[in-house]
Amino acid sequence: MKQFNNILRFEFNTYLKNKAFIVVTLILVVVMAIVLSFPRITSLFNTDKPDDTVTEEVAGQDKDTLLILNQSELETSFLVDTLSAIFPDEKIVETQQSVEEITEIVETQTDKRAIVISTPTQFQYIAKDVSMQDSTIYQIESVLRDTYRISSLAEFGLTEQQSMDILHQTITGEMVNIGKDSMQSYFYTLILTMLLFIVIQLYGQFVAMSVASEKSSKTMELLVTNANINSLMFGKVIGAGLAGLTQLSVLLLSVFVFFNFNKEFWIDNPIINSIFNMPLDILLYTILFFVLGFFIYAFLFGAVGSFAVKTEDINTLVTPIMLVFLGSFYIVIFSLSDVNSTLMTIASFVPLTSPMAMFARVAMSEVPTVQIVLSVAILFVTTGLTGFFAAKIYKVGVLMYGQNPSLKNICKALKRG
Amino acid sequence: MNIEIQNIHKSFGDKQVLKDISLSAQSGKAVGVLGRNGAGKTTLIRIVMGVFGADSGDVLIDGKPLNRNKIVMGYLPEERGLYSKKIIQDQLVYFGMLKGLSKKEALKSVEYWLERLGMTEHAKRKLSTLSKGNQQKIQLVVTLVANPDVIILDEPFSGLDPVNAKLLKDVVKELIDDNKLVLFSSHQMNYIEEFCQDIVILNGGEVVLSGNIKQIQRSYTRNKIIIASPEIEKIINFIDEKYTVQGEKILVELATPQDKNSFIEKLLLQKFDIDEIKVYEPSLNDIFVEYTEDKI
Repeated sequence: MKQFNNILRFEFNTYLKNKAFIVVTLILVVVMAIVLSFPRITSLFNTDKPDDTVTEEVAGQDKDTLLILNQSELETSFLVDTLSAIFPDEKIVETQQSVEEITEIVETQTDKRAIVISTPTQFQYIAKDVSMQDSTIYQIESVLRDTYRISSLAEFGLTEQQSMDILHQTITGEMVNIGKDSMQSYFYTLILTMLLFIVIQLYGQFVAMSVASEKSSKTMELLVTNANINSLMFGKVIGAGLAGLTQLSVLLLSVFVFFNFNKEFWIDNPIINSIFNMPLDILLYTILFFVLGFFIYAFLFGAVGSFAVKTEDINTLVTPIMLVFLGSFYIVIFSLSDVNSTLMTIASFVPLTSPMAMFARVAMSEVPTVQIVLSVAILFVTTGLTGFFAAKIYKVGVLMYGQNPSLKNICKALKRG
Repeated sequence: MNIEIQNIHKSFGDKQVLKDISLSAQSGKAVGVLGRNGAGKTTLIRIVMGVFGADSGDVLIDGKPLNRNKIVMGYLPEERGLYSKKIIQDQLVYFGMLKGLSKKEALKSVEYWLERLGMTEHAKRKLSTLSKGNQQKIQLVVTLVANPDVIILDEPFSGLDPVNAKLLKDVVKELIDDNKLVLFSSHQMNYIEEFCQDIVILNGGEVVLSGNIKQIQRSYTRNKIIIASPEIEKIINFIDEKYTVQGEKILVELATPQDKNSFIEKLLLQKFDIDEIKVYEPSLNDIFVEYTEDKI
């Protein structure tokens, strides 16, 4: 136990004293600080430009022009009035030029666009370099649709007002959700699932790297002759896990601090608010599933890492584990719209997929407690067994040179361990 | 203290690596474990160190099974390696603590050994900044940090310059004088002859020869005489026996060891200018080659 504590402390300190670890953590904290303080920073630059001068400029000489060519039986004055109301920042000008001429004007003059209405139900919108936010076509469509409906309804003896009332009757509805609102939980589940994926993957790889570098530098010869192999394996894995948890905590804490510091600037942003209003239990589940998910993968990474002769071998060796892990990540990400699908339900009990799958289900829906307990129990027992077998493989693997971790060799190692 | 390795068998899969290995060693003495590459030395050492178990056989200390929690062991592996990017003192203390020392004890011992090996000034540097020979001295500190009772040195002299080799020789002699039990493996036979009274030669996973070096050497038929003389030509013309010339010496093979005295008397009567005349004993190197050349 004393030996295990020494190894754990040594491994943990190795991470904390590692310059790359410190720099990456600091960069992440700074990025979080900048992202979360962004509205505050932009507001600092806007203070010396009062809003009214901005609108004045727009209202002044810089008005764009919207040309109208009306070839339908609709009244042109009615169209000009309606469109003026919809586009207050634009000059609506009637034209009698041909479509070709109008096209040429739009082509050459950047401040002009045009609408050609051929029938009450058909029109053309001519513009150059349409922006992504340009909704002109939908607005004109809506004006023409209303006009068409009102005139059609008038044939049934309805007044314009009656038709308007019927067409624009608002319906009030209220949702009473006694479970979880997946719209609200979507973003934090997505972010936390990705965080779980990145941290588990990163630290799992660190374990494999650490084992491989001890082996390639032959430090392993001394370690295995001076320390108990189980202490080595578990000390290494738990040391990396604690380092991961430390980094995760620093990151979450800095996010929390910077959000609260800038809270008033985020008040209108529903997405950011939904993320920060996540229930505490979700955060605790994140930690629980990180711990369990990390260990089951870290043991596997450690076991295959022990077969590496050089650190370069690691990439090839961890590929099968990475494929399984990526697969489970994609299952979860693509199932976030329906977290209680059969696939997700199964995935939330299968040990290698359950850390992310059960987490997503818990975060986005009401999962019966018995299912959570069962999933965690299965994962817990499997992680223990994985640790036990991984230590056996590790014990033989670290002393083997130049053998691939084929299924045959792993079975041999298990037998010999 | 007395270590006894009894009838060790070990196989990896179908390959039998050790076959019925037995040897023993006492405190205050060094035993040379010799063998060509792949003879099974490292496997035997790993079994003694407890990295894995033997298929059958025992490792006993004073007649009782070796308890590695009680007996402190120090091992210098042939494959050297430590954390190259870590501070030397930190990793030495870590290894001391792995062997059960407290941090304070480990630090004290590390300081002593660094001083003894002239490495104190490098304590706070990273291992990778040292030369190969100096890295090897650091490796020796790991072996000795916990004041082990049993010390296993695998090729301790490889890569050392003559000054460092002398320093290490002195340290090994001190350890033997300090009543430590030393198992010594090397291909440099001169070192084995210098430190060890007893040897065990492994070949193909078996003990092919073991015993006291002097006795082994004496056990060879003593019918060869080696003569060093500036008048080799004259001597060759005079003798009737079979001979071989070895530089300024000749090796004369007599029919029986009993002919030795009469042959020497005959030679002396001729008043040749003779620098040296003695019975030929095979060197450890010759014995090693003889026992391991064709097998494995």
